[in-house]
Amino acid sequence: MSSITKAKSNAGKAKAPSRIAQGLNQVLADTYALMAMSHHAHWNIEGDGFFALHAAFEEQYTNLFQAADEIAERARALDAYAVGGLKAMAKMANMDEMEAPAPQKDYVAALVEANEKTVKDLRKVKDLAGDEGDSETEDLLIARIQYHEKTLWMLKSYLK
Amino acid sequence: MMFSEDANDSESFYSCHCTADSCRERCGHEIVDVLLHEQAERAPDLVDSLLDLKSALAQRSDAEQILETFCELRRRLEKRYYLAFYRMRRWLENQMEAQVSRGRGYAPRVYPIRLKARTLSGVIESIRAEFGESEKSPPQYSFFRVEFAFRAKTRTSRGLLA
Repeated sequence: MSSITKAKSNAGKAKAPSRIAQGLNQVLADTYALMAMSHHAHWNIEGDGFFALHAAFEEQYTNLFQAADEIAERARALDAYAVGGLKAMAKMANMDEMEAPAPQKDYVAALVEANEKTVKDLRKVKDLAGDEGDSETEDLLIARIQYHEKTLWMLKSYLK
Repeated sequence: MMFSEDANDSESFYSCHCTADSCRERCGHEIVDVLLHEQAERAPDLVDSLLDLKSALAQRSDAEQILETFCELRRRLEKRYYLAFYRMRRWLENQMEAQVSRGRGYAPRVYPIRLKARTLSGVIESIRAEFGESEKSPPQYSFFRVEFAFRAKTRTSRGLLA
């Protein structure tokens, strides 16, 4: 049983979340895990690319923190409860832990993989929202995909 | 492994979404295939090494030779294909393990492998260091032995988030 289905309302039993709400919780967990990874990289990056990468990772985790709030609130708007807690988020996101210390490029490569995984999940939920005519959720997720694709372009460019 | 449709962006070819506990057996093979495709015209001298690696991976037999060939290719190609080699490293770390013996009469102990070093001897040295830290007395060189092997199908996870 997922953590979302275990959530209870104050008034009693919560109704089963929709597939879109479940999907939103998946991308919420992905976003939170990626935010933590970006923060980890921001703290531990060192070497000659320090200033550029330190600043870039800060921009990314700041964006992801705001995005997590928007995604969670969209789930609430759909009358579902948002997943929470580091353990539950980590289990749902299922991303490998970033190792530190590591070479600069390893931090970037790890973030490439995490962004790709997030985009993959975002696309599934975006398509589901499109199929079910939930344009507001679809719009939110399209914007998130655009952000992650731009981030991927920048991260991959650094590795070339 | 999800391949990008953008064939002009070579780094986007390698898009593996495996984690430590869901690593697919085929990911590494697919990365080698893409590198082969890339190197066929650019550096024919590397094609033989890539074909050797592809063949050895298919047989899943000589893990040490696979690591040696990988290290050689990594030294020559990583600068151009960093992401591909990062993914290949992670895949090999998920797929393989080191079986360490400290001497006659001792059962071998299993360690995960870390491919931070760029040579096979460096990888073995890192395992020796890890083994020494976990033992009360450092291993004697004359008895210390490391064998590499593919993991059994059920594996433990190395990822804290997994």
